[in-house]
Amino acid sequence: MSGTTQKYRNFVAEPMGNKSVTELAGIGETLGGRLTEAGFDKAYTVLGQYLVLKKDEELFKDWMKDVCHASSKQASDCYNCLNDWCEEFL
Amino acid sequence: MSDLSYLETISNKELLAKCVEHGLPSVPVTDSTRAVIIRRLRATILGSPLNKRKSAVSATKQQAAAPRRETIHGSKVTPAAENVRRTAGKSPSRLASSSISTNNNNSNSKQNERSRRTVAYGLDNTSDSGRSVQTTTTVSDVGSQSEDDDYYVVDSPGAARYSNLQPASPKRDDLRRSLSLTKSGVLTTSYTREVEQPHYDRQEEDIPKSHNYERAPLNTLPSYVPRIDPPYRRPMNLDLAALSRTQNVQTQLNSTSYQEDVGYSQSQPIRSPRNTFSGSAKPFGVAAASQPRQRQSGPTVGFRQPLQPRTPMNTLYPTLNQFFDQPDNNAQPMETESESEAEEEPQLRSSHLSHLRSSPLARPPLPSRQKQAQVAPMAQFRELFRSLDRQYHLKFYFLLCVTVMVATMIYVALSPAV
Repeated sequence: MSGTTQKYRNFVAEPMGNKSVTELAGIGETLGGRLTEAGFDKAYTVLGQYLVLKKDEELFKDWMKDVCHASSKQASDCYNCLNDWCEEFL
Repeated sequence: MSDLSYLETISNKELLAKCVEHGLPSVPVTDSTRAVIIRRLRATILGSPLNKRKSAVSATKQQAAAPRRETIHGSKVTPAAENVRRTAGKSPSRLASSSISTNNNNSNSKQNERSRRTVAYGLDNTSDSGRSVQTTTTVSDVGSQSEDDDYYVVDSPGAARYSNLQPASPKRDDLRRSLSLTKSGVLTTSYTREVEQPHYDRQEEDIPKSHNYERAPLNTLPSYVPRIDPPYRRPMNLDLAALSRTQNVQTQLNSTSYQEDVGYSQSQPIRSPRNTFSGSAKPFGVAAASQPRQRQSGPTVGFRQPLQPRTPMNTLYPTLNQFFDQPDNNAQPMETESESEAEEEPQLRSSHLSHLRSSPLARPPLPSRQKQAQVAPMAQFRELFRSLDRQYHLKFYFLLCVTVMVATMIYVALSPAV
């Protein structure tokens, strides 16, 4: 595992509350805009999708690629971020 | 694909049933998840992997691993070598993924082999990077050999591949051979290697090892003396004659070091322990003229204490006690010693001397104990205080606080008057 980013640490360090989707690791302005267009404007909506997919890594990544055309790394970062957040707070 | 077009038309319930039917996780089918689920279901039905990249990569890995298995497996890879490779393996995930021990280990071993090979070939004299991997092995000396073993074993089976590389390190083969033989009797290794030079290299290796250990401290003596040296040197100095008989090189080195010690004794306090040790035998009660004084220098005190427990009680006690005693008697000359130590030691030494004078034979146990009991805590406290003072400037801050307090007191005393 490579080192975690500050964005990842910030997100995993506290409850997500009403954080924007762009505060998820791997989600920038571009992907955030695409997700917002798809209705996933908040981080908890993405978390909901992550949970609906039953934390399945491949499905979630595939979903990310399908919805916002995320790259493998971006999807992986987002998945790891949500997964670790769930381990911490869920 | 045309057959699966119906998946997009079926309802969510039916799609979920299809997923369960094909063994997929029963993920709730919603508008947001439908596309993903259909994709995976389609991939499952067709038998094609969902992620083409991963599948391609995994396929390439498997393909690459398959021929490796065959080559290595046919080349008679020893289980010992496999184990060693496993320990040195840098990719645990790969190892974990291997269900079949032999085949997968071979494939993994090859990956490790290549990296090691590069290291091993560059490591004719010393292997820095390779040893990091070798550290996993229990025996340090064997560690270098263990790599060689892997390397050797790999080479022997894959003679066609690595035959060119083997001649580069013929000496190592012997080491490798010995290891491989000890771990597991390998027929292949025993064939080639034993014929070359098994015993010849071993003798060379054994001798140089002992020399190397001794040389290192000797060469470094003028600059600094490691604490480990004294125990080695004592026998060295005592056995110089025997050493000179046995080995030429060592005798030369020892002789030089011994002479140097005498010469350096005055200049370097660290050396002095030897001289004191040899000289201490001369006079038990009387302190030596110059050498003992040198020994008593500040740094040596801390250096000696650990030596006492190390040294055997029978032989070394009288000498060591005398060392400590001599400085006490000669405490006057200790100009070089630190002030703090010079103050403390005389008291302790005087007390020791009174006890020691009674009987020379009884001296050794008593002073050593007393010193350990009395000198040790004081010296440790002082060292601790010094270190703290160095780091935190305790004296400075203490004085500063005192001055501030005094200033405030004066100010408070004067303010009402004003």
